[in-house]
Amino acid sequence: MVTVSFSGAAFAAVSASVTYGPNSTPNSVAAHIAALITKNYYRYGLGAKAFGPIVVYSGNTTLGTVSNVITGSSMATNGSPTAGTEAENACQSAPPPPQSMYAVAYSAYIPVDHVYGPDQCTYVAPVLGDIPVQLIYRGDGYQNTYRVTQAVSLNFPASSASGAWADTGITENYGFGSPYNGKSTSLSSRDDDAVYYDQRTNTGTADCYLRNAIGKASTAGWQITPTVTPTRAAVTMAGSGQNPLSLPFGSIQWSMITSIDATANTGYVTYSHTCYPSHQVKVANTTLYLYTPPSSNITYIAGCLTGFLNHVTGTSPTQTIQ
Amino acid sequence: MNWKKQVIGIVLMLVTIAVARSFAQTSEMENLLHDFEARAASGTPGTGEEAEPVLERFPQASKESVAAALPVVLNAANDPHVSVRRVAAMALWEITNRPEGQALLSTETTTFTALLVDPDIPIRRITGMALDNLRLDASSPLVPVLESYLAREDAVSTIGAGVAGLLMKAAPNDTASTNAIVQFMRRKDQTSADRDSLLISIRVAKSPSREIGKEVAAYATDPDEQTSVHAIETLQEMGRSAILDNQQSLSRIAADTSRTLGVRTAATKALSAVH
Repeated sequence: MVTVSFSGAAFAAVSASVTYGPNSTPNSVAAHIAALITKNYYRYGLGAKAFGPIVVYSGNTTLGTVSNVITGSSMATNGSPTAGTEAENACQSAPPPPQSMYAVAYSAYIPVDHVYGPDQCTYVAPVLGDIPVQLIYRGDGYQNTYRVTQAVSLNFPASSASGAWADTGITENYGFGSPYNGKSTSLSSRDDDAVYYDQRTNTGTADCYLRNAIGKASTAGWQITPTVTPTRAAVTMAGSGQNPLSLPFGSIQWSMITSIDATANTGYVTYSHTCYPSHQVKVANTTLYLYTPPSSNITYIAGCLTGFLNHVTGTSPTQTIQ
Repeated sequence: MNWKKQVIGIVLMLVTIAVARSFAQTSEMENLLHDFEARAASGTPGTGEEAEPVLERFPQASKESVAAALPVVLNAANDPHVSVRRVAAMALWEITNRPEGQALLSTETTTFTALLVDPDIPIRRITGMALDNLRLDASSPLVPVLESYLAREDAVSTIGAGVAGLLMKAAPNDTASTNAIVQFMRRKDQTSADRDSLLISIRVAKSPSREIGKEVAAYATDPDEQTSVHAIETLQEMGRSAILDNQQSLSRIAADTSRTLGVRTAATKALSAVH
């Protein structure tokens, strides 16, 4: 069992434990910890995201030192020594300074419950016939999910980087009748009907009614280029994320260079990205850069993803990493 | 009696306001285009950021007022200034999002042909989205335009993958269209990321073509693992015959220890799905 706790006064009472076994992987343990923390403590201002085996915590006030204590039978007896050791390492890979390792994580996410996409489906209605429906796409607002993400761990004393990770979120679109509870409401479990096309398994049928299709974008062509010395690091994360459920006429694009001075314990981000969706760079527990789009309107989104609207570029202020 | 008159009066007033507001959105669009024309002519072109608020409101305009504004938008699509054409292309895409969009725009072949090869790449992307909404079929005069786009020198680096998807949707069984896509897929300037985009198009369009399937199988040998796996998954999605047609190459991949485990597993999974 791994138990996570924080030394920061506001979160001193927080304690989340995850049990793992022979079939656990570092990724699954990290995902369980992140989900548990977010589920139980989000309303108190504490969240967590797993990036592969790395967990990045965020709080609305100082988190303090993150402790991961492993208890119970040793991994040697349950036959999974690697999972145990790596789970411990994973939980410690987003440590508070001044330590020698940092997790650098980039993510882009849709900051609202759902948005209208650029494409349509055709709903065949009884009597009325074909009705073109603008597809709704599930967002990441309040879900602790992402559209695209990249992460890497830096080890300054060893001048090395490890655990490079890239992933995309699940893409879900919805047709006629969604949102089920009304146009101005969020998507709910009632929108998730059983008839839909799952591109990941090539099963089901897209029926343009409530949940229509599910897919997962590729990470092809993405780059993570870390340069680490004992005192400094620069990490370039760049790529392009496309909607797997519509023709590729637009994409989320980003090129983020995170610079860290391990001696001064500071960092900043030189950024260039599409003006939709939200883009974020975190180092350890510090959000070095956060962009929130001014609108989630279909026209604004299409403008951003096609290049009609300019990329957002600049350099963030230098911040102390916590 | 008196209260009935009051109710009728209020209803009439609300209808008048609604109509006025709906026409306000189109006259706002017309004013924006005229303003952008004037500014571009004077050397200070407007930006997308300046146009965006008006474009966000444009979808609220009524059917009648959009139809009335259409000649101005179409005229602006031929403007010599890119800033004006960009706004016009966005407005046209917004019209294709409307239920009556197809009826209003399906005959505007000349305008869409010009916008599709516009020197400005965002205009091409927006036009691609608009054409997708118009749900072209094999008889559309735009089909040959799409085919010739794929032969352009800049097709791969611009919107060729999306255009191939439009063709697969419009004319899935057309020999000339399929041939244009096959030639495009074979181009040497395709990078792994370009191939990946093309695979998205094939999956979205649900292409049943066996000729295209053969090219997808060739993508399974891409040096990028993600693209290779994506190609094998796409082949699987294209159906049993696509797998059977390419059984030999998939078997080779499954047994090739120089390939990554992910690629070999995908190939094995695809083969086992048909046996």
